[in-house]
Amino acid sequence: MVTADTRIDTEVVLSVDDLRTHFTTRWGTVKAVDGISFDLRRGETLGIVGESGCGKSVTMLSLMRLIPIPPGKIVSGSIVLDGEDIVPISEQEMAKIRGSKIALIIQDPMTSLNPVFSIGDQVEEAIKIHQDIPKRSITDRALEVLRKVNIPAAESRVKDYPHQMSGGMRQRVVGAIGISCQPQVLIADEPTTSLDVTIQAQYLKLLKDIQKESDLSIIFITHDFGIVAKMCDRVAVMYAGRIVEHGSVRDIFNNPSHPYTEALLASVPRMDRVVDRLYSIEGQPPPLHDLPVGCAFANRCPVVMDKCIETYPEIKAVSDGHTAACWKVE
Amino acid sequence: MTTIDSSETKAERGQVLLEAKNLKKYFPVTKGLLISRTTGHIKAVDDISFALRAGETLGVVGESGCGKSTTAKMMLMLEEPTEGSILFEGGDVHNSAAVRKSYRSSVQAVFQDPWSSLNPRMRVKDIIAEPMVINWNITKAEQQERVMKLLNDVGLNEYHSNLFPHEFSGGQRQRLAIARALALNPRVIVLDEPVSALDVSIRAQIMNLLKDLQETYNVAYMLIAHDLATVRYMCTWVAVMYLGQIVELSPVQELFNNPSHPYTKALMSAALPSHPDTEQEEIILQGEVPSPLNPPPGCYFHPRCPAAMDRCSVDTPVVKEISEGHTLTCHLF
Amino acid sequence: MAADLSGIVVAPPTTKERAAAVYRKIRRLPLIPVFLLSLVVIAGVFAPILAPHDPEKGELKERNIPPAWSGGVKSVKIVVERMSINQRTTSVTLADALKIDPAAQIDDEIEVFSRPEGTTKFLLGTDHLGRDVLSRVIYGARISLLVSIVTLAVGGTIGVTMGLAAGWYGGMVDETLMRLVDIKLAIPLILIALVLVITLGQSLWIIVTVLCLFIWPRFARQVRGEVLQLKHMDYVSLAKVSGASTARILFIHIFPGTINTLIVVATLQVGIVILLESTLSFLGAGVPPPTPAWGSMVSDGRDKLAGGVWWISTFPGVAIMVTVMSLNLFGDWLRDTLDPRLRQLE
Repeated sequence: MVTADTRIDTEVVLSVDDLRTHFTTRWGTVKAVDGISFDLRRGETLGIVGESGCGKSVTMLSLMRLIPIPPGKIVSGSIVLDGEDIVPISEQEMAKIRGSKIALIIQDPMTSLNPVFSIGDQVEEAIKIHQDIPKRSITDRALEVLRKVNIPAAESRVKDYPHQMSGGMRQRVVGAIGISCQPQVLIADEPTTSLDVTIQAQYLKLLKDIQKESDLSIIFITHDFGIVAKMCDRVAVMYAGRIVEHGSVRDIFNNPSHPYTEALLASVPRMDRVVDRLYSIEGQPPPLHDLPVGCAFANRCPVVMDKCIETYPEIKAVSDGHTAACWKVE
Repeated sequence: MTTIDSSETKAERGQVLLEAKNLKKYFPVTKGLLISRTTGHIKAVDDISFALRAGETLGVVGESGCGKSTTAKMMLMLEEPTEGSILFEGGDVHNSAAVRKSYRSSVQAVFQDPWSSLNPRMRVKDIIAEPMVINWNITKAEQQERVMKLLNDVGLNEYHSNLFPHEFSGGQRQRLAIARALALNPRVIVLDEPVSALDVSIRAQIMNLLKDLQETYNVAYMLIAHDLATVRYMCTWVAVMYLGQIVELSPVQELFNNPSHPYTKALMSAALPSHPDTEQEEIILQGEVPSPLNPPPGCYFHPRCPAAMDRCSVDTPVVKEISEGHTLTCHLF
Repeated sequence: MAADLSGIVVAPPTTKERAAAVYRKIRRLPLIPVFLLSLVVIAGVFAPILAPHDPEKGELKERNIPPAWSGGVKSVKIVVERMSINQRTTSVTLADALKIDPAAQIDDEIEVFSRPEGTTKFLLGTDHLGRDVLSRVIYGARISLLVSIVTLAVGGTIGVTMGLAAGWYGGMVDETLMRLVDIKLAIPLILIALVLVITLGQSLWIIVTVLCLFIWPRFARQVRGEVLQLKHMDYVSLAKVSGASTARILFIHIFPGTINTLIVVATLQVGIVILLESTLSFLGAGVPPPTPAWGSMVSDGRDKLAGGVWWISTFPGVAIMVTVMSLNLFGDWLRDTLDPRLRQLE
């Protein structure tokens, strides 16, 4: 496996700088994503981890420019994909980029496929939108993609409808649609939560194989540190709309520097050893429409200081390529 | 029973409270619109036996369709077993009305979805008091007093008793569900994926709470789970299910130190690692779980088993004990 | 207990927050429909106090008086000693002429009201029997209310019971009850009502029975659908686990869950009941005369419309339209407000 350290030289395909996506609701402005920055290199897998409501899904929607406007809006920041900032471009231009340069696999394989079209039609449709090639080659290409995601007997299954397939197979078809136009960046939003463990293992292995073959960059949106440990090169931990810690997967696991990351890791039961008592994080995340001025984790933090409540901590380097937004970091 | 104090009914840790013997649940598959005929059976649970012990937790793991939820439903008497018996306090639940009555108030449940397990139109105090209203002949004041105690037990306070469920977060709702399950001083609580719908940081809160309550009340848990790490943290015993059968049943340490059935091994290798440097054996099972309508002949696992032998597709393996309390169903042993 | 809990205490909402929540709820309340419906209800309840006249008695000489604001129609006629029938439109008797102009003489030309002037005594005019239209419209609200309430109570109860049974027990019970619904849909109820009236005579109870037969299936279907969803909720399983009886589960856990839907269905059904009652009354199969019902009033004024006597039919017609439309608007609002799925979309 190629580790994060060896990737420093490869080219950056996606660069997010100070992205802020806010929603206007009756409770006030919900700062779902509030100033996040990260780079994604070719062939690299970045994990965005956090609990529900931390802004990871809104990050995903922002990257795809799928934020419902109104109530949502990307209020500032840039998303540079393949050298082009996709925040200011028109919806028509974005539609061309979606699927061809940046693609998405979402959580629920039941709703991401249309029940009234055969899976072959749906893969072909995805290819047709972006590539101006004759019908014959589209069919061939669709078959090739379905074979690539290891659909057994793809030739005979292209005429199947989604309901005729198992959850694992359906998720593979969704994956096939995702990679059908050879995107540079694939966003996977909890793609395996509805799958059984053995099927999940098959699927994750498949994703890795595809990535290796086509030098795809993947962003994994997940709440599960297990997925991160298995799949990712680098990790961004999100809390209340911001990235609180960012580093290589080993940095995060071996030397968690933000108390939230540390607590989260300590609160997950482990399969490889006996844990006498899990660490339990008190309380709940703050509501996103009413964030404190200081650190959002302060009210749950075991090592909170006065400073934390007064001012939001700057992002500081812990070591090379490892940053954390915490006053504790010197 | 009208006693509120549980101390006198407390069983000794490790004492067998409840035994399931050769439980089977077959669902008939029918065809035809007017005159329906049975064309086959889905063998959701196919001959399983296990015991629940005071103060201990039996974890039941397996993939979807393995029969773990049907097993939980049978234990809760929400489904009638097709065959087999549940023995409680020395009597068969399905034969004696008296046993059934005491069983009803001694076996409670906590379900996965905290949004669906509390009636949205009832106040918290009425939700928690309901089992007492049904089963105990005590005054309203006594009920309310006990509700307050239960709320304190699960880490909520008296202020919460007048609220409605929608005013709580998922983790708090799961606490309420636990308080309700504790209302009758049950001997056994069936926990059907109690933390999988919760956020990571909340899961630890609930798991720790459940462990503490077990310590205090010496209740037996049956934990239905799909996550092996949760099982390792919570359980004393583990039963691994595949296609309606228990393929391996063992004390928890023994199972994790010495997983023996090929399916258990595959399940462990497929589980997500706890650390990026965790060394994992790569056993990727081929294919998917066959339909329980037409399970394969011989050992149900043989079409996917990496260690399958010729006889596996012919002979049905029987339960063997390989060390104390560690039993499995496999021709390799 | 050892678990750490400091952060999870919910603060009770402040008065301001509660007020804001109440305001949000009523913000989009359909004020005009609610106002109009309250008028109808008040009219129905307080009819004896509000109505200026007896709705069932009238003086024939005060018949066909137009509403207060309309002036009479004048025409020039010749005063004659005696009048034959065919002179009616062109002549007037001396005796009548003297009432208008004491100086009138035979063969004079005189301006006469061919239709009387409106009077504040009858704000909305009178009908062909001299009865006050306003009083009849007010009492008509009473009949509509009475019929709606009785029908909803009886038909609704039947429907809800059927729906609960069908949804909960499923199987054969469900099949049988739902086939009954299908049978109802295939029966022409208006024809049946007409036949019943011809054979048994006109009575309030016949139309209430027919209306009940008409509305119960809607309740049964809606409730059945809700029950099918609710019975799979975990809290229902948990009630079973705690040993709750079927009756307890149905009435404590399932029925309250259907109430929102019932309110919406009931509101929309009242509109239909009022329309149907009016239709039956219009066809002469409804409330027996002289009881004022909106439908029969429209029917009464029907053949006088050609003679320019528009007010007898129009006012009860407007009352029907306004009431039914308000009910529908209010029902839609209720559905949007009470349906949690829609509430989330706000």
